[in-house]
Amino acid sequence: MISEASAPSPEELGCFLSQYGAWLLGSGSTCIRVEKNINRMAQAFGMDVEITLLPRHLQIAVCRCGRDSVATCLSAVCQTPTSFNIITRLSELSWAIADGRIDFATAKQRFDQIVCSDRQNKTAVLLMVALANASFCRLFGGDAAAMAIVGIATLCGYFLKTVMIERGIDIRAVFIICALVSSILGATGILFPYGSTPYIAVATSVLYLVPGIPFLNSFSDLLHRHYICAFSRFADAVILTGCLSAGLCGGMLLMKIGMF
Amino acid sequence: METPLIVWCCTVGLILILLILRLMPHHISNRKHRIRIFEIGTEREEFFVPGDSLQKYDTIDYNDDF
Amino acid sequence: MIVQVLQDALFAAIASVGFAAISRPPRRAYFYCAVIAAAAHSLRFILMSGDVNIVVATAISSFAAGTIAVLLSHTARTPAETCLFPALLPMIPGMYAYRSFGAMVMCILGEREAEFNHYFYLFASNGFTCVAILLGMVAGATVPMFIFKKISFQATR
Repeated sequence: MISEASAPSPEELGCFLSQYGAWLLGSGSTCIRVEKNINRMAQAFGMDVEITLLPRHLQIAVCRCGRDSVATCLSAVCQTPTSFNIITRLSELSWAIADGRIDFATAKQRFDQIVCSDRQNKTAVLLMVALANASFCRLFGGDAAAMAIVGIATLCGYFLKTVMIERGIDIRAVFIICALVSSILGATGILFPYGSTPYIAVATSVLYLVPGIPFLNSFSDLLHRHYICAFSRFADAVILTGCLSAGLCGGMLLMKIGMF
Repeated sequence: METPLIVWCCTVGLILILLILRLMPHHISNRKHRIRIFEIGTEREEFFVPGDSLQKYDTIDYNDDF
Repeated sequence: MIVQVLQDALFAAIASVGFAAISRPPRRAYFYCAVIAAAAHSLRFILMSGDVNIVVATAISSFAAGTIAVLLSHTARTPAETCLFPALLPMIPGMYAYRSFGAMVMCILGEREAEFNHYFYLFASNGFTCVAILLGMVAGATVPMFIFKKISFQATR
């Protein structure tokens, strides 16, 4: 445990921990990890902590062990893209604090560094997603032609997604438009008879949009009895899946293809 | 057979135009007073009430990326 | 059969790494994601070739994925779910999910009773399968985290 002289006040710690939790939850961490990491850090500073996790907010009450004055802090969950890099580095930070390797001031500095330095090469991601969806098409039994079509449809759809998200367009509208474009391009094999599995290409062309991580997080929260967060994440994921289906249905309707 | 072909051609055309515009970053973004025919409004503009300050914020209303 | 299994493992690994890139894992995690996804997806392929139900096959292979992820999390120096969740992405029942929505739309648009019943059946069967697969997958993957609780939450120490 860190000595009392270098330990922060409950207010300071509460503020830091609520920010920490807001970033961790916003980056797509499961509720159980948020609880574990925050408790670990609070214990290192000799404090007790109670956490209220809500889908868009996080409330933390901190008090020194055995004393009755409580500091409460409330933070809005950060609306940031899912980032396992942030989750990993914030978890490392929590252990560095718990093991007494860094003091509170350094921890705050490092936290700011972590949340500011999460950069990604967009072109590399675009190519990787296209390749991944093409492989996915293969897993569903698509031939080389279908794989090529799915790769190009994904490339265009994901490129469009990046552009629209940069412009601040509502994520649901983005999903509908991207699914529409990807499914129209995915139907190339049907329009210009090419390859032997054109229908698999259409069906798999939108799979890169399926919100897999929110689905997994929601069920993980459900198993850990964080029902409110679980249902909220599930609702988010279902709405996005609905939008993607709407785009796909639209695309199939325009291209005169039946889904079933 | 006509409609799917037209839709497909339009989609490919639009994507190509977008790609070309993105590959020429200085073409549009550096013009100071560009005329916009279509523009997507922000949430702030949507809930604007006369009397609200006209200050522009850089925040993006929706940036959830899954 | 062996060639098919290896092919399945290879493409699952590529799919997992590509989809993982969207959720920004640390660079060192990509390799572990690929290994776990290849193992889990090929196991599911083998089980499903042996006529095991998709839900059961997914739960068993997710359990295997969870165990490998927890055991590797110390070597990878990442939380178990950083390698595990992206590795599970190729098994997400995306097609069932959007087919159930598609069937729902057709259900609403359907004019005759027989048509409605048919699409309602498709909606329900796809929807239930999707939820059951997800539940089985997460339950299977989470059990190893409970069993090896100490390892899984101390990986980044």
